[in-house]
Amino acid sequence: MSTGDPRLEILQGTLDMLILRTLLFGPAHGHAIAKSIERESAEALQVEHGSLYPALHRLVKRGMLSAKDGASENNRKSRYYSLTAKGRKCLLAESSKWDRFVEAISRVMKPAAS
Amino acid sequence: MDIHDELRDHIEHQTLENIEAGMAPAEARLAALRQFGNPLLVAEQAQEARTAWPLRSIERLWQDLVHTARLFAKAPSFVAIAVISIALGTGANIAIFSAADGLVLRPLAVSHPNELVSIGNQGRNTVFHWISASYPDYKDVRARARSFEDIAAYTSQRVGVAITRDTAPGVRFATVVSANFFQVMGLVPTMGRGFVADEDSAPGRDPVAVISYSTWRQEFGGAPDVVGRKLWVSGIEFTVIGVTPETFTGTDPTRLRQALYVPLAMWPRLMNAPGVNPLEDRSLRYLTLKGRLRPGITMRVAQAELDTVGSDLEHAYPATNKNEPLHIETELQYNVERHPLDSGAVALLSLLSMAVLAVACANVAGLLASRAPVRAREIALRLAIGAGRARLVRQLITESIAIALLGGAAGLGVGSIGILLLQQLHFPSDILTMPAFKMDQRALLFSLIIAMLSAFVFGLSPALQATRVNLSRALKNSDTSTDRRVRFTGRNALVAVQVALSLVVVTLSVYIFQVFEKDVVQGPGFRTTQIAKVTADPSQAGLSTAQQIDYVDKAFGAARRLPQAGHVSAISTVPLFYVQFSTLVPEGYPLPPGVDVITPNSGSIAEDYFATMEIPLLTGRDFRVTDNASAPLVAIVNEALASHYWPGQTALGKRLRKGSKDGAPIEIVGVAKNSKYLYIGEPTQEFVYFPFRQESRGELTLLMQTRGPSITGVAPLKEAVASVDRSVPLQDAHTIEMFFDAMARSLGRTTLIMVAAMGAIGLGLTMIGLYGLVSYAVSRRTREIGIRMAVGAAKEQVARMMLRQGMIPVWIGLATGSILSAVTLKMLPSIVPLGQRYDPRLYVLVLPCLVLITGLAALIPSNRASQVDPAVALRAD
Repeated sequence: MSTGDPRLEILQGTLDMLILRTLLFGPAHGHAIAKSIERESAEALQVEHGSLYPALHRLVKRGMLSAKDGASENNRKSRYYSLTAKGRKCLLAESSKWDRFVEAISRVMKPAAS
Repeated sequence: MDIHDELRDHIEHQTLENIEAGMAPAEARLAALRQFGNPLLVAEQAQEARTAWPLRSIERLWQDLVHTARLFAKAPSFVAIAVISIALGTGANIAIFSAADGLVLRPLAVSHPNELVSIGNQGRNTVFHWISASYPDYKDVRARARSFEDIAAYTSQRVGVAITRDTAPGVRFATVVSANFFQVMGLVPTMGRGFVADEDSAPGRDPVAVISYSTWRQEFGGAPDVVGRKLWVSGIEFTVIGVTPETFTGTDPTRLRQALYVPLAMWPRLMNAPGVNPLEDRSLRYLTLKGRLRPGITMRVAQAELDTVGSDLEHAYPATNKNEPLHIETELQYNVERHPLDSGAVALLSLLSMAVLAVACANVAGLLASRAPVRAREIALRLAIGAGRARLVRQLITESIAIALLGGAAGLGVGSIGILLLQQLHFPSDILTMPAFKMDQRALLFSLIIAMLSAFVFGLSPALQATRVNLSRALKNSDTSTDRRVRFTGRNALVAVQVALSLVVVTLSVYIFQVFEKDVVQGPGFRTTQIAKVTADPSQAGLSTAQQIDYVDKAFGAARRLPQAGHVSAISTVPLFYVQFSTLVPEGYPLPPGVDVITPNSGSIAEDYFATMEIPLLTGRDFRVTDNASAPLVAIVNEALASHYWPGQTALGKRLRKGSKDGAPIEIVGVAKNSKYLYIGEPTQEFVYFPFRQESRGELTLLMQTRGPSITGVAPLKEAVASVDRSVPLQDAHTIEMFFDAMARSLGRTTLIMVAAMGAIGLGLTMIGLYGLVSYAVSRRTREIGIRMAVGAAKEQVARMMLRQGMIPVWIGLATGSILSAVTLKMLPSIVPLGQRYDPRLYVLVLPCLVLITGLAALIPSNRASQVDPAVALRAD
């Protein structure tokens, strides 16, 4: 991981939340999920493949996601992940927790910035 | 669709995207691959994220094991040597610790055996010291000492046991016990009950017995109605009131077969020794006292209280108790004191086996260290292709454990052989036994842990260093050379330690060999062939002392009439069987302050004993038939006792006092040559012979020289003696050859095999270690050797150089080992009471042998150095 890269690494523990958030709009395969996260963050975030796939498999194991093989846009066979009810509930909880976290951090950081 | 397909799919997607972005297809694919990184690693991580952890760790373990097996298959000689080293090291320890457990360490089969303490006055002679107490003192201590919850007393008494009035009695050991014995021991009889206090209150009134489990099974055939049945003990009718638990094999399970338990109050009747009353006489210290401390009371507090009680007794009964303080001992102290020879032998053998284990571990360490550079390359490679550090360490741990476990399993086999050897030992007696040797699990565990630790420490530390290499790449180039040199001297040190330890082991082995060889080959100082023997105990048939002597005379007559008979005589206990002591005071010899009496070993003999046993009588005369109860008391002493108390003068005519300085005078009428009395290899013992007509000890072993093989005399002798009086119990009809073989030769042989095995194993492992060291040096320096030869060094020169360097740790080891073994040999007499002083000439034998053997181990690989082809060596690497 070179330090000269202007892009940010994804904070530990937030990748799961980002995956769930991405899948809110419908099923997607791994590559699409990574691209989507990068695009949504205006290329500021970079998804490590080394962590993406373990995270996907972990979420499947915990019942947050379900996986199904299907044909992708260019008629290739791909593995599609979609959100389960449990995943949806978890996303809700995670995002409200994240909001509070961001708020708290910014409150602490603000005086330093002014 | 599995994870690999999924990742491939991902890369396809990326490639397509790259093409869309305008790259050429080939370039696009490469970029996608580059961006993705290591797909195998990702796949593995994803797989791990998916599997549940127990399954995952099993899977990993399996992978590690498979990898380990593959590695081992690639280096079979490495694995074989490591496994054999550990097997020999652990096996030796298992065997020796099992012997230690059987002989000394195993606690009594009672509840909380380690809480038991022993109490009594100290007794000692040249070899033994022990603590024991008299019955009146026991009653006083029990009544006064508040530190104890309770104290029980017991001793063993030989008796004749018959289960019907008419059957011929057999000699057995009865344990006479205080009424609280079973309570204090925490034993509940499996059938019936133990004793009640009333049964131990009136001397001779209550003939009740608790029989041992084996007596119940063997003598009563396990009869369910045994409680209430009758039993004849030394002619007295007893009632069986209980059976001991099967697990409880007695108070001295390593030596005595205890057949039954009777109250102490019955003791005088069973002893059947007129004029001797152990329940009244404070000087008869025959009892073992075992108690349990009250909660919160320490040994020191109890000892302080016993000091007070003891000094009160000294003041109240100066005649018997002066200079007789009371002592308290733990079970272990008690056992070690009681069996000094076993304890010493066990300590010595443990020392040897630990040394062997250390040598074995050093071997494993050396092997692993020499593999470290090979492993470092492999590890670096695995790190480079993305293996995790933790994963590698786990792999290395798996390997270490695998080697240790394989070695431990093989060690179990080696240990079992040792234990089998021990189990072959037997004791040719109806009343004495050998300890039951069995595999000691603690020893197994201990040895395994040691083996694993050594495999761990030495296998892991170089490997860990190797895993760190990747992080500090800068260090790698500059530091490897010094790093290697450090490890090299480390290996040198290991070999030096091995050589030193083997020298110690080998010198001790040779020394012990010399001790035993001398006594076994030169003989114990008495005749060990062509004698038939049988032991009779007329005191157990209710005969008076005069009747007993009459019985013995008739038995002698019957034996002499046999056609096979040569000289016929008798002694109370055959030498090397067990010991009897006498309390005496030598007249005219100033005893050191605090010592009032001497307690040499002693025996009662009949006339002609010295002729029968072929022990030379140096001066004076043999006992005569006229040395009887109405004649003045006489004794014959051995040279050692004579020269100790009357140095430079003749002992003839000198007097010993019986019991105390005011006791009856005994005149010394003869001096006999020293022989062995207790065990083969013993230091010189002091010994006193009494005529059995003046000092009857009940039991008497008849010895009959035979014309022709002694086995032909055994049955006739037994029948001749039995025909005199069928109510007198007989035991142990054997030939002297058989007896001596079991008592001395086989015991000596077993000890020797054990010790020699230690020596051989230690030396063998050292040779392997040295061989490995030199081969390693040769292989590591092939290039250098190549250069040397290229610039003109002769083959022999190179070989000599390697040999010289290989022998450096040997010289260091031999020097340290000589000092170490000299110190050990000096200390030896305080560990094992052995007779022979160590002879420095021993080294003349041992040192050159060791140099030769180690030289050979270094020479073979050194020679390989001369085979190096410079052309090949310089091209390599």
